[in-house]
Amino acid sequence: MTRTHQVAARGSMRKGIHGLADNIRRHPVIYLMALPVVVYYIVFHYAPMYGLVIAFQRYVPARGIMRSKWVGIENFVKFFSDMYSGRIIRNTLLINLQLLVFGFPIPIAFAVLMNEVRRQRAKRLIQTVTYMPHFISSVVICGIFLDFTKSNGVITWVVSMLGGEKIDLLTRAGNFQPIFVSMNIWQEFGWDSIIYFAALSSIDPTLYEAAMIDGASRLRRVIHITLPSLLPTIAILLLMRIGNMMSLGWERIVLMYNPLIYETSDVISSYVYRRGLVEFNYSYSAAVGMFNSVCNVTLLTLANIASRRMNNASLW
Amino acid sequence: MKNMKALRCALCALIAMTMVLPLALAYAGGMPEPAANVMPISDGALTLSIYCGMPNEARQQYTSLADHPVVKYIVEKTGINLTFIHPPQGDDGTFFNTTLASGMYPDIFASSFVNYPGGPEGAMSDGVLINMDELIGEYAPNFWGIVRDRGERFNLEIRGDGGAIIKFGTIWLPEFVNDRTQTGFMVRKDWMEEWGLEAPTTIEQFTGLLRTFKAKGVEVPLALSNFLNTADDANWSNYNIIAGAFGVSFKDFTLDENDKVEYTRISPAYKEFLAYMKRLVDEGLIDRDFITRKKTDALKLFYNGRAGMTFFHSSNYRDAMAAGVTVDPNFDVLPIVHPKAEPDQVIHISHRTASIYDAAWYMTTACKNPVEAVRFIDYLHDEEIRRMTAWGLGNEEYPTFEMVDGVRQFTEFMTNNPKLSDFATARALFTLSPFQVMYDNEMEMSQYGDTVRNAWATWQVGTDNLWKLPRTRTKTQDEQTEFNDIMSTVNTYADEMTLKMIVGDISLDSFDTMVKQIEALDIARAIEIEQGACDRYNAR
Repeated sequence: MTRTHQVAARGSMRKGIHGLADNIRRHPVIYLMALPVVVYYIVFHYAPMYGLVIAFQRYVPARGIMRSKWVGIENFVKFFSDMYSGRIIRNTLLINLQLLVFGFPIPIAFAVLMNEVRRQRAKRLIQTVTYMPHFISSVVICGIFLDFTKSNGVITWVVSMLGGEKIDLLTRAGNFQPIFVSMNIWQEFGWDSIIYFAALSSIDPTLYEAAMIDGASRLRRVIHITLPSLLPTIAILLLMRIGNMMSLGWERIVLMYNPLIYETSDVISSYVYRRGLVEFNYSYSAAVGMFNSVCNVTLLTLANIASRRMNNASLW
Repeated sequence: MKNMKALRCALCALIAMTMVLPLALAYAGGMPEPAANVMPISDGALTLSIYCGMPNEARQQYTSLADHPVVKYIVEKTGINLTFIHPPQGDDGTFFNTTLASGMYPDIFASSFVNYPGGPEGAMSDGVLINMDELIGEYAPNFWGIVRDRGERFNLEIRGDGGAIIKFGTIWLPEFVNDRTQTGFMVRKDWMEEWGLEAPTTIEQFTGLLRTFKAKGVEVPLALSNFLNTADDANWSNYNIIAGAFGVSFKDFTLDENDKVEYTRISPAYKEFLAYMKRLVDEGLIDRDFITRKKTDALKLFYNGRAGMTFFHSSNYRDAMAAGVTVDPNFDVLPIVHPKAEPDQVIHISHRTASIYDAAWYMTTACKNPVEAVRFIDYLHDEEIRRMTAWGLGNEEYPTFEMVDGVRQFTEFMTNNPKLSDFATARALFTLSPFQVMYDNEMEMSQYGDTVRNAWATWQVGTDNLWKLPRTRTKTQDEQTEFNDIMSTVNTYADEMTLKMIVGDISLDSFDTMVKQIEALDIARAIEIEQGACDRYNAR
């Protein structure tokens, strides 16, 4: 873009719709290129939102949205008056919070450490090995962990060496969340660190050279150059994680839990899954999904405001 | 006094008659006798889309059942092209739900609508399915032939509460199969003989046998899978035969002596069952990992010689013998009767196969050629097609069966085909169980040897279905919603409490708390709904 174009673009922005039309006329190709993405979002992300109205209906597919019966907030009342709604919301939040507190810093630390490794081949090897588990399907991963935590499993054996009981670990309510969270961290930290590697590679090497000449130690260089350079990336990813605090897929939970440990393992999605499977109750699921989304958006907005105040990094 | 009784009898008879009369009138003249269903139905220009299951073993070779030789034969005969929608492998019912939710229906659903709110008739009033009564009356001679053979009663059995035919194209089982029990406990015969033990009958002898196993150093006297994982093993989680000895089911509604509906988990006998299970756990007679055990894992413990007894389906027999002898050359199995409190007790809630299936063929509102579709489904009841779906084509290209001394048998092509891994694959590739409308006993029996037949007979001793609720009862849509609202919470709560009491996380004294809590969750209303559904079923 030349300087005159930039000025023109800024000018047209100020003029709103009128200016937009003007701008399109001037740069048709750029807008054409953006069109598929805009259409994609409209068709697949915004248009289906009208379907949320089924949360307020007793929806029957054959009757469609227009002819299904309206029930007001009945589905929401059902969800919140359930004797387990508190427990499943608590578990969902707790598991997500642990994933955030323990799971979020690990890829950062890993990327920073790997950045200090001088030997390129060792670095690549470790990177590949750590992100491989990401590609293993949930069913297999959960199957492995179920086996390892049986009374004669290898994890149980390690725990018993450390003074624990030699029992099936997943029959104790207190064990589920640590096992589940560790499993997720183990599987994903290598993959999650890739974006930090990318961010690290864009740091200007002259900064390090200058610091070295000034006599900064390795630790100093990490604290004063590496981490500040990563901060915008970290802030954005953290915001996106917070925007998913209420969501937790049912697949892995259902593969790992059992009724004996519902106390700590039953989450919103698994509860709705058990209920929806027998019931054909689309409206109830939609209501719960809507509640989740509203919570997520609220959290995201709050976190975004906080982030903008504190370090000027924000999603919008 | 005598007069009173006679009067009452007469009154009862009168009331019964007035109730039956409208029904009798509705089906006046017995059953329809439509003209023969002559092939072809169409000249090849017509296509029907069918939603039906596909055996997993067939997926390696066929992209859909349209590639199946028997289907090709049917297409050629009828002149109707077929396209298929199959649920993916390992589907848990979600695919069926989403197909319904999409509103894009095939012409025909060959599946069960039992879980649909209001059953198949609910789906009809929702505008998913159409009522086929008139068409079936006019164009389905083969179907009516079977119903007529079965007797007048089945003119009611094929209908729902509202009188619509909901069993068109269902799988008919011979009456005697109603008495076949395909699941039960299996023990190591070789160990029993080696240690001179006798097969147990009572629950005390049963416990004694497990104790002996433990004393003799068997690692896991009784290998079981999780009680509650219906998706993993429906047979075990629905028909817990240990609970049967205490006269309770494991998690269901049951009938009492007076045909009144009860909820099993609040009956005092359920506490006795829990106490017994806790004893097994405390004494180490049961696999200590059973709560996270899957069915296949539990079976493996038995196959590889670590367990002395397990819950077994007769279809596991081949695998058990094949795997067992590689670990222990003497490996052999012995079925034992379902344990009983008293030697002559009859268990009224045991598992037996039903005489009529849940699933059937249904036409949707999307079907543009209802007459042809009904004639097509009816053609599956034709004798030749029935034989082919059970036995395969049996021609030169597919020599699936032969007649030996007047008895039909599978050939080597099926039982020992070098190109195929096992018999199950051959069966999936060359016979057509998804299109089968008649259980072929000759074929089923030909697959099993004496041990399995003996097992069926053993597991059946002293059991019947008297206390089980009729399978095809239906609830109205509103009832179903209300019922599920109550039961989804009750099940979560009671499942958790049941396991906690069995493994000893909480004391058995909590049973009274559990009963109170379940009552507080309005189990009375759920019982009332089930009672209503049963009453309507009995009044059909």
